[in-house]
Amino acid sequence: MISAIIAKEWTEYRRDGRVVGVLLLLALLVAVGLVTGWSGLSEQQRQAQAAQRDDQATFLKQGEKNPHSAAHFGRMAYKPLPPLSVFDPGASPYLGQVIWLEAHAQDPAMFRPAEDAPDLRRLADLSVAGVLSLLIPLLLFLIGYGTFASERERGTLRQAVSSGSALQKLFTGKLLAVAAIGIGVAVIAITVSAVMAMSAPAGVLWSDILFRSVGLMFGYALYGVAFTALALFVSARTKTATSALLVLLSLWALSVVVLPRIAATASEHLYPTPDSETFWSETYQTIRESRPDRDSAEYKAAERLVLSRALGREVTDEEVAAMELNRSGLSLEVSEVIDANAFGAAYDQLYEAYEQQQEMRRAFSILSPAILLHHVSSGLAGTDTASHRHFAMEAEKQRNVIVRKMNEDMMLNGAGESFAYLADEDFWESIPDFRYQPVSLSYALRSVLWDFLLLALWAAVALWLAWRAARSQKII
Amino acid sequence: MTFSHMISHEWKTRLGRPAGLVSLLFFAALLVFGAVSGRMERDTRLEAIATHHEQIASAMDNWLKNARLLEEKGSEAGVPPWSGSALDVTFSSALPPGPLGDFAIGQSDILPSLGGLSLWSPDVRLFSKYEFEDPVALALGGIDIGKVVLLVLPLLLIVLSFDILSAERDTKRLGLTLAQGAPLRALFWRRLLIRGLFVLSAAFLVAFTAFLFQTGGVSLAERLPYFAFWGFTALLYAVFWIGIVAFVASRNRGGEVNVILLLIVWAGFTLIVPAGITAVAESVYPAPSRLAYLAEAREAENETRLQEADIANQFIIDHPEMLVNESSEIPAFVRTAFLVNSTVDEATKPLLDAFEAEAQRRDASLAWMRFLSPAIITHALFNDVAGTDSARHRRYMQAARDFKSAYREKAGPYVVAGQRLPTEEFAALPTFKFEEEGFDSLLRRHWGALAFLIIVAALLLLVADRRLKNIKGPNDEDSG
Repeated sequence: MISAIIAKEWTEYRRDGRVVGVLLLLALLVAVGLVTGWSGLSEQQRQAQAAQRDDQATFLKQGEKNPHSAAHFGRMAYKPLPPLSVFDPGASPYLGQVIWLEAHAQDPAMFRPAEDAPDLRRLADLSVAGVLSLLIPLLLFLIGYGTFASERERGTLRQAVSSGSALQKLFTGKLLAVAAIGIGVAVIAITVSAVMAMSAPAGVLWSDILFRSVGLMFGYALYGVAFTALALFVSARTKTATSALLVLLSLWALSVVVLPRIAATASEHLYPTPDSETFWSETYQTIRESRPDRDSAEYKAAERLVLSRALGREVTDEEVAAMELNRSGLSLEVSEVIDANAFGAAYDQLYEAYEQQQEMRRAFSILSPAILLHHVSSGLAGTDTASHRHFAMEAEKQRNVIVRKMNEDMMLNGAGESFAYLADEDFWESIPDFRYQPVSLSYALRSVLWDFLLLALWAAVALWLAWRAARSQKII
Repeated sequence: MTFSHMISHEWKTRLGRPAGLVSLLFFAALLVFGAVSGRMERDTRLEAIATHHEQIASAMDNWLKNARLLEEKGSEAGVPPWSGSALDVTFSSALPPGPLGDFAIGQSDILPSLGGLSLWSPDVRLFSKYEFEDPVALALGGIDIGKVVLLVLPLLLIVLSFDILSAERDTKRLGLTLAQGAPLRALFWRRLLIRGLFVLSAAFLVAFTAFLFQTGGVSLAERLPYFAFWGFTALLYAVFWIGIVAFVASRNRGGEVNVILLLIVWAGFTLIVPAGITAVAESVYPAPSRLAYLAEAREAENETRLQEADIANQFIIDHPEMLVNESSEIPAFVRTAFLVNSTVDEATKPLLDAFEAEAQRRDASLAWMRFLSPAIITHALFNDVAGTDSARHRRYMQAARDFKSAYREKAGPYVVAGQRLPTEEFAALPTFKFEEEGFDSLLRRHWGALAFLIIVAALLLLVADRRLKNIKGPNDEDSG
C-alpha cells in the first residue's frame, strides 16, 4: 500500500515541470559547487604543502645565527584544508591559513581566503553544503505543499479515505515520497563529495572520510525529514494549496535565508569578540602585571623549572645561581613560561566567546533547523571553529617546542656570550617540522553532538505536528 | 473609487489582515534590527579606531619624552640608549567609516580598518594580527538595513502582490469584475502601487530615522548626498521588483504559478546568480597565493640577514649624505631589522602589486557581470555608498603601505647611520590620513548600472501594462 502511494506521488512529481526544473537547477548548482570546491581544495592543499616545504628549506638555510634571533624568525604552521571542505568549506574561508610560530607571542592565524574573495561572496554561498541547505527545503516545499491541500481541493483525499485507504498509510507514503527526494539528492551529493575528498592531493584516511560522510548523510536526512514534515503540516492545516504554498515559501525564506543571519548578528552583539587593539593591549597588560619580580620565589621557581627541564634533572636555587649559563637565554625562556599562561587565558576567553555565540545561535535554532545543520555539517567536515581551535592549540605546542629548544641552546651553550652567541648552521636541523594531525571523528562528533540531537528533536517534533495536523484535518 | 477609498479597501482586504499586518510588522522590525546592527558595527569600529589613536599617541609621547631627555642630558638622562630611534616611531592609521557607514556592514567586518605603521613590521605582517571576529558569524553574514532591503523587501512585495490579479481569477471573480465594467488596468496598477507604497514607506521611514539619529558624529549635511543616493537606489530596486511582480502577475495565470515563478526569480537574482558569478570570478581571476607571498617574504628575510653587511654598505653608498655614528649606542639589531624589513618589502612589492592587479581585473569583470542581477548592482552600490566595500579597504591598505614606505625613505639614513631621529624632525613628520574619493566618483562608478535598472524596470512595467490592456472582458467587442 505504502509503496503504491509512493509510486503514485513520484509519477505526479515527474509530470510536474516545476519539480523537475528545481531538481535540475539543484543538480547544476551542486555540480558547480563540487567543481569549485574541488579546485579550491586541491589548490589550497598544493599551496600549503609547497609553502611548508619552502619554509623548512628557508629555516635550514639560516647559517650561523643567534638562536633567539632565529626564534623571532620563527616557523610557520600551515593549516591543511580538510578533505571534506570540498563539500562544506564551513568557516574555513573566514579562518586564517597559517600561524606564525615566533618568540614572545602566540599569534592568531592569518590570511583568511575570504579577504581576497569578491564582496559578492558575502551575499551567497555556492558550496555543495550551502546549495543543499538552501535549496533542499525549497524543493521539499514545492513538492509537498499540495500533498493534502491539493487533494482536499480536488476531492481525491476524500475518495481515497472512503475507499479504505488508512490515513496513517497515506501520511507515511506521502512523507516518504517527498522526503526521499530531498534525502536522495543529499546522499548523492555527499557520496560524490566523499569520493572527491578521498582523491585529494594530501594523504587522507578513507575510513575517516567515510564515517564523516555517513554522519553528514544522517544530518541532511534529519534536515530533509524536518522540512518534509513542515510541508505536510502546513498542507494539512491550510484551506487551499495556494495558501499552503505561500506560507511554506515565507517559512523557507525566513528560516533558511533570513534567520541564520539574524542569529549570527544577534549572537555577535550579545557576546562580542574583542577587536584586535583591545585584545593585544589587554593581553600585554596582563603579561606585564603577571611578570614576577626577579628576586621573587615565583620567578626563582620558574628558573628552576626551565633549567630542570633543559638538563633533565632537578636543580636547586643555589645551582641555578652558581651555574655557568647564558643568563639572557635563561631569562628569555622564563618569560616564555610565564607569558604562556597569559596568552593561554586570553585565547581561552576568545574561544569562550565563540562558544557562547554558538550557544546563542543554537537558541535561535528553535525557529530554524538550518542553523543546526550548519553546525553539524561544518563540524563533521572539519571546517568549524572547534577544528580550527584544535589546529591553533597544536601550533602553539609546536611554538613552545621550537622556542624552548632555541632558548635552551643559547642558555646551555652560550655562557657569557649573551646575544653574541651564534648557533651552528647544523643546529636548525634539530628543530622538528610541524606535522599536524587533524581532529579525530570522535572529537568532531563531540563538538556537534548537541546540534545533532536538536536536529533530531526538530525532525521528531515536526513529524508529530504533521501527523496530528493530518489526522485532525477535515477530509469530508 | 478614489485613491483614498482604494487604500482603505486594500487595508481592509489585504494589508490590515493578520497575515499582511504580521508581514509588514516583521519587515519593519527587521529593518530596525538591521539599522541598529549596522550602527553597532560602525560604532565598534569607531571605538577601536579611537583606542588605536590613543595607544599610539601615548607610545609616541613617551618616545618624544625620552628622545628629548637624551638630547638634553645625553647619557645622564637615565633612559634606554636606543631611545629616539627612528625605527621606534609608530604612526596610527585608520580607515574611518564612511558618512553612511551604518547602512551596510559590507566587508568592514573582515578587512582591516586600522593598524600601527612601524618599520619594525614588514608589509607582509602589517595587518596580520587583527583576525578575531567569530568566523561562523562572518560566514553566515551579518544583517544590516541594506541587506534587509536587498533580500526581504522583494520578498514582501511578492508575498503581498503576487495575487494582485490571480486572486480574482482563482475565485472566479475576474469575469464578473470585467463584466461589471471595472477598469481592470487601473485597478491592477492602483493595487500594486498601494501595496508597494506600504512596503516602501516602512523601508524609508526606518532608513530616514537611521539617517537622522545614527549620525556617528558626522553632520547631516555630509550624510545627506549619500543618503539621497542610497534612497534613490533602494527606490529603483523596489520599482524593479514591482516591475517583476507586475510582469508575472499580468500573465493572468493562477496564484500558485505566479508565486512559484516569482520565488524562483527572487532566489535566482538574490542568491543563485550572485553565488554563480562569485564562483566564476574566483575561478577566472583567482587571487595570487598568500602562502607563496609569505614564503617569498621569509626567503627574502633570510637572504638579507645572510648578506646584511653587503646590503648595509650598498645603502651607505646610496646615501652619501649620511654621517655614520661609529660610537652609536643604538644596538646593531635595530639596523639589521630595518635593512631586513626594507629588503623584504622591496622583494615582495611585485607580489602585492600582483594581488592588486588581479583584484582590479576581477572587479572590472564583475562590474560587467553585475548587470545579470539587480541584487548585485544594489549590493555593490549599498556597500560603496557606506564605504564598506573591499576596494576602499584595499585603497586604505595601499595608502598605509605607501605612507610607511615614505617614512622609510626619511628614517633609513638615520637608522643605518646609527643616529637618533632629531625631535624637531619628529615634530615635522606627517600623520596618516586616508584620502577619500569624492562623491562624484561614486556617481561615475554606478550611473550606468542605475540607468540599466531604470530601463529594465520601465520595460517590465510597459510589458505588464500592454498585457493588461489585452485582457478582455465579456463586454469587449473582440472577446470570444
